[in-house]
Amino acid sequence: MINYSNILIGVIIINTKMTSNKQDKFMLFSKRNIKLKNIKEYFGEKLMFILSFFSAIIILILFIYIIKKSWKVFDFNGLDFIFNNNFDQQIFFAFIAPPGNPIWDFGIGGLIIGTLATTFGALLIAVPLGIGTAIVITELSPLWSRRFLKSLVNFLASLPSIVYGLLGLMVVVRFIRSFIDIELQSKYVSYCQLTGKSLLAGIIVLSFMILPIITSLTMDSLKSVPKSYKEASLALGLSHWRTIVKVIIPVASPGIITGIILATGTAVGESIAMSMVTGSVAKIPNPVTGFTGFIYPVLTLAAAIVNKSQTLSGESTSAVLFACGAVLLIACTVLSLSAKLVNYVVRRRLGLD
Amino acid sequence: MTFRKMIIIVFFPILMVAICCSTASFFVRADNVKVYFDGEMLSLCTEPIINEDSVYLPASDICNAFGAAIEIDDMEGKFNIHMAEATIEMKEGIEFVNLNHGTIIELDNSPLINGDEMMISLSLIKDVIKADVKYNAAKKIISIDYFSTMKGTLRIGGSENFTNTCLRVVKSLKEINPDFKATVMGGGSTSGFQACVEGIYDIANMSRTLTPDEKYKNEDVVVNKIACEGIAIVVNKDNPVDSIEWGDIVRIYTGIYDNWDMVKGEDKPIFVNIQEPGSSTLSTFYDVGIKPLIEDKKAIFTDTAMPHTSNGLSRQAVTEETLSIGFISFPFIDDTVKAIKVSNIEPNKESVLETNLKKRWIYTCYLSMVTNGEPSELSAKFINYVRSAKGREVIEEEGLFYLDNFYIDDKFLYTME
Repeated sequence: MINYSNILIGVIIINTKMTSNKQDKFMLFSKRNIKLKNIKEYFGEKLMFILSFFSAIIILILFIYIIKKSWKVFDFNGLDFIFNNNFDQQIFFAFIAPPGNPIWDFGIGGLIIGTLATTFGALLIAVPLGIGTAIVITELSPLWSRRFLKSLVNFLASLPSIVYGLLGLMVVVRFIRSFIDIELQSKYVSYCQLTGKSLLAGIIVLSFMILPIITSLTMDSLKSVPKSYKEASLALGLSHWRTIVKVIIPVASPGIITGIILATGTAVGESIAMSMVTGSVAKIPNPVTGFTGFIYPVLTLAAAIVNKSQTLSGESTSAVLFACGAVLLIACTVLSLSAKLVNYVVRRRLGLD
Repeated sequence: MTFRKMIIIVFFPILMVAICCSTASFFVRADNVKVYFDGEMLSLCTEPIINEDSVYLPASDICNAFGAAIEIDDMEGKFNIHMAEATIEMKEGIEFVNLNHGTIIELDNSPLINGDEMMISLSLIKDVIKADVKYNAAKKIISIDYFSTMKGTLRIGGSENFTNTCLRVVKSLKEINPDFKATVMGGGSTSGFQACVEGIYDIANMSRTLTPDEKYKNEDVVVNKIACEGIAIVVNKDNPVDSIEWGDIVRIYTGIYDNWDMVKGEDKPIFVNIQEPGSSTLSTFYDVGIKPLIEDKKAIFTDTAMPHTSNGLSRQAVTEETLSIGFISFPFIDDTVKAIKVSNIEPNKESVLETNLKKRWIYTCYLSMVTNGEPSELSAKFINYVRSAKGREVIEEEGLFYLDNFYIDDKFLYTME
């Protein structure tokens, strides 16, 4: 042992002697090295700054490009573009019109109503279900099942939308079709075809798609509530249920609302599944007719872009599809900004910030 | 008198013999001569013959291999060979050919008729069609290189109906000729035509005829017809309707008729299925089936019509809903739907290629390859390849109908009787 330690000390001494001899060359923190390092850091920082600036510029260019592509449609139609509805016929005639004499007459009112109807219908189903599921998983269910349920929800959230579309087409549409009889079809044949592909099918499929998103985001925000809040509430004599309703949900509400808004964004932008189950005809559902109003075929903005993408070669038709994209882009931007705003306002009101 | 008789007696046999000698075949059959076309052996219907030191090959087989069509005029003994870049007019026993209705080219020897078969000489293939011909007399091998000498890149685009066929033809051409490159794009007939006129594409695939506007603005485009495609009207299998008149289909699709009992069916509503705008099946159906049969030229599809993104989804919609009517292109017809007769004409290959307008299937379109101006050497060779035996195979496999008489103008093709 002693021998070894002597040798070790000897090696260290020799090493220090060597380094002290060639100090200028091997010293890590020589003046030159420090200078070099500063320059490196400086350039690294600037590079990162330029890159992030660049990605921001790309997003800006995207905006400008889409608006520029679609500007002629907005310019020609004005506000009628949002309120008129005869999209199916208009895009067909615009596409077969001779190239020298393009048609610019468009109205996407039906598409906007279809988008709003499917989105809000899906939210009506998915929000209570999603929040309830999240509460059950994080608070009420026995410990052994929590992990299993959580991974199940995450798996559902990662399913590709085409799978939901296929299931909707094969199961939901056929299920709705079984409620429609020949008399109803004869009654409405001059207005629309009742084949099961409908607003209701769109709402059901979409609610299944956004349910896991709402659930998993709500679960995260419920879990981030400090444990001391819950313990304090229980210690004051509140029951478990009242603790959940009066303490945990209000504290977690900014996160829950953000999750709902994100899910709304997904629902608005969903294209493939919607193009498969909603029937692809831009009809405006009539709420007076009750149940029948829900089995009208509708068309959403995103589904319209997918379905009519074969017409992208035309000048005016591609412009109107870009205009649909611009409306979607603006809607999603507003939604994500409002998510930030709601988060801020609610946290302020609760006194969390 | 006796002198005249002498002349007749002496010269008549000589004359007879001379005539016999010229017509009776002194042709030497060239047995066991192998003909290689682009490296593959060509099977010929008759053996090649040798006359006056030049080799003759049967015209029909050569035309098949070159993608040419042969038009025979029995009355005058003329026969014409039609190719993408050239029309060769010739006559039996005459050493001159007329190329593209104007250029006279002198050949080393004239075309012959051997039995029922037209025979053309190697020099014609070499000088007029401009293929590389090598004849090895010792080994009895003739090798003709035409498509394997193509070099360069072609840009093709247009109708979606034709894209798959084109891709497969390009693939098979690349197998014999690695130097050849091509890009095949879709995008629809209209945009393909536009790009061709602007010079972005060399060849535009069209699945419809040119509109008067397009013809007027671009006078020097050349339309090379390739094949025919049919669109069938399909209904659900449970539907008792078997036949509908042309006019009634227009009334159904424009929304005037909305009940099957108006076309001798059950008292049930009609659900109209169309395809999404931009699909060439919809454009063709509208152009040939709806537009010509109505008075005001701006008829629209009924606004309840449900659009589908593809032929397959259209068929599926008709399968699922008993009240549906739809249109799909011929290759998509199967057992799950019923293709109905229209005005008592069956939808099949014969009725699509029929020249009698009264018996012809109306929902038919030509697939053609359009070039801006006369086709360049490369484009012309590609069009010839599509029309050749190999291209024809692909066309038939894709469910399209190859057009044998592509050289006849539409005006002369159809009769009312």
